[in-house]
Amino acid sequence: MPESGVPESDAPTPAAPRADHETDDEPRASTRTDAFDAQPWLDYGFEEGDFGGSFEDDPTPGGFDADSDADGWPSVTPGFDEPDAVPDDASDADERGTVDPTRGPRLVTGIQGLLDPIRISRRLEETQTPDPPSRAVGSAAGDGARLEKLRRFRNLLYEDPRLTGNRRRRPHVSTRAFLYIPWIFLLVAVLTIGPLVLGWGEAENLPPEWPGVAEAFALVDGLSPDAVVLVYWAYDPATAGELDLAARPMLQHLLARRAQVVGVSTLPAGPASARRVVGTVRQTRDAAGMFSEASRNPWPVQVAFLPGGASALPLAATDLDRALGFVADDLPARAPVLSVILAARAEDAQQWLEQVQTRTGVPTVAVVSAGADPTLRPYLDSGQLRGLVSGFDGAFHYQARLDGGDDPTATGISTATLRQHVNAQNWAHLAILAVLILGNLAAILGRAGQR
Amino acid sequence: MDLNAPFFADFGVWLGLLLSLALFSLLIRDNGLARLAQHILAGALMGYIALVAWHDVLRLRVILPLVRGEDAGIWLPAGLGFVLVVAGVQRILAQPDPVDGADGAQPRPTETPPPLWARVLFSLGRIPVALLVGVGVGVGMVGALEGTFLPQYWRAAQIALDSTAPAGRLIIGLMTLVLTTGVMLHLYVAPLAGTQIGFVRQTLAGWMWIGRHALWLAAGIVFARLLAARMSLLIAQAQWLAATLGVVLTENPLARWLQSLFG
Repeated sequence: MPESGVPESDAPTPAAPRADHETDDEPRASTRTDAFDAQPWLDYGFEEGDFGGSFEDDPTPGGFDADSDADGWPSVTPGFDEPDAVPDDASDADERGTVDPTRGPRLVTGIQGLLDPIRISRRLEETQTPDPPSRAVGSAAGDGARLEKLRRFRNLLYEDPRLTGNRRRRPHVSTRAFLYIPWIFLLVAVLTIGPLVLGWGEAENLPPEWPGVAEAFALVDGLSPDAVVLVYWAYDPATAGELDLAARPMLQHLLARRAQVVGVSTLPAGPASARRVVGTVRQTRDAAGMFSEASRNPWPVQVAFLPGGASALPLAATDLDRALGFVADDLPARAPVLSVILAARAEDAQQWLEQVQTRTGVPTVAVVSAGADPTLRPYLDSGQLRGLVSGFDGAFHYQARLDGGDDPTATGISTATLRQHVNAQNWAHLAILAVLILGNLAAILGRAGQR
Repeated sequence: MDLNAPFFADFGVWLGLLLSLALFSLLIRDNGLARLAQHILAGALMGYIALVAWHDVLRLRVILPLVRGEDAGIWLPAGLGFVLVVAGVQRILAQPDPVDGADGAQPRPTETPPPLWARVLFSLGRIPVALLVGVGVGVGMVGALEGTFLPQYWRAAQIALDSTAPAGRLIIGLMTLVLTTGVMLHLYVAPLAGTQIGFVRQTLAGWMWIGRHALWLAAGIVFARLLAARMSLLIAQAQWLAATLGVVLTENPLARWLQSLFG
């Protein structure tokens, strides 16, 4: 095994000597192949101005500024024309007395059309070569800039090979039109807001009903009057746009069953959100213009802020009065028979299940954001959650069950809103599909153009 | 002042409308109005949180019990909290000034060590921090074990050991086992797989291939549901804007507002 560590069978063969009539300024006849016709920039006589454009204008992340790189990297300068000066191994460099760190060893020779190898990292070889004396060793800025250049070269070499230091003609397929981000926003906005404003389409394609909605509805429907329900309010106005869709019918159902609802929230703005939603539900009127059963519930809904995050949640299981934090005569004297989690994040629901539900064993229903659904499905399967209502689709089906229930005064004030919402979601999904298809087309065309 | 007066309701509608439109202008490009709206929202939220911290935490849970003598044990957490606050404030005030005119504002190194009382204060401040961290970690770990790991493991074992379960459930259980272990192998064993003997390496490679693709599939599903959630927020905001603009244009609350101002 030679010093370089390369097996002898794979050792580089010496470059074929030039014929006497050939000079360094003349291209070798043996190096000219048909490839040059398709890629004339590989020709040693190629002039960088032939194709116009500027490599510096290349917006690809791997592009680099040839002018700034020329200082320490002579190989990238357009005038650099010593392809055969590459040492085959370290011994050649030693004979010359200098080591050009920009050049790497040529692994295979005698094959036409090869590009000049460029050293991109000292770690690609086992032999260590010293830094060029012109470099300021130990300078943090210099080392950082050098590493950045190495990184750029490495990125360049991951892509299809192209000569460094030469102007590169990029294919004239404009990929900018496909990847213009504001157009994506515009498409999504038009297809989402258009149905709301202009009334496009109808919600004929209803979302599927996921397991957990029927169970949650049945559990709430089976509550006896004056049953105490403990609510964990874990969303604030930032995510109220989505959670209110499902929280309103759930609260409406609870109040219509004359449940005594008390709640805690680990979010400072949680109690305010709760007051707003409860106020909306209590103002609900039925088709006859009368207040609904929900509004006739005599029990006040109190949601307290519980400071301390997840660490304070066990207090809700062991000492509810202390967790609620207020001294009032109308606090429920009975233990809760049902827990309802209203959470925007799966972590909040998990924390309640881990800290409270394991201690109390009270049946728990979760009303969560669509994004939290995949994480909480296993808890529904394992029985820790008795019901799961997630996202706009869960809200739609819960409201539909409420509208079709026995309570004639349970108004579908949210039904029209939810149908509009479902319609807009369908259009939004079409927009996302269109973006996916266009994006893949752009990627395919871009790759084909680069080849 | 009657906060339920129509003036405040209409003012709130207009303010919400203007702030929503200002924030949506971010889609076009960053601009001063959008930044102003962000600052207003962040400032309002911080102010509200400060009020909640005073009203619902300090006054209700610390000061009133102390004053009324309802709970003798409240002295310890109150004292530790006070020490933490004082230590934090002193640390903030003792921050060195940034170097004038320097890009990135590197702090000037302190020349003298802090006085003894400051060092004692810092040491005392570590106690409540240690308690907070320790309690948090302990509660979290025990909860994860009791509330997630053990119930989920038991559920998986129930499926596997129930011979009367329908075929579909058994298949799902088996798939869950294969995918879960495949993901674990891909995440933790992949660097070591190459050191194994032939058939073990091939088996591991196949298993990890399954795990890697299961991970991608799961990430795609989570992303799709997240996208639906964000779309819900956008649609809800658009519905509110459309409804508000409709009210604004039809019922003209601005005129009502001006009328209430000027009689």
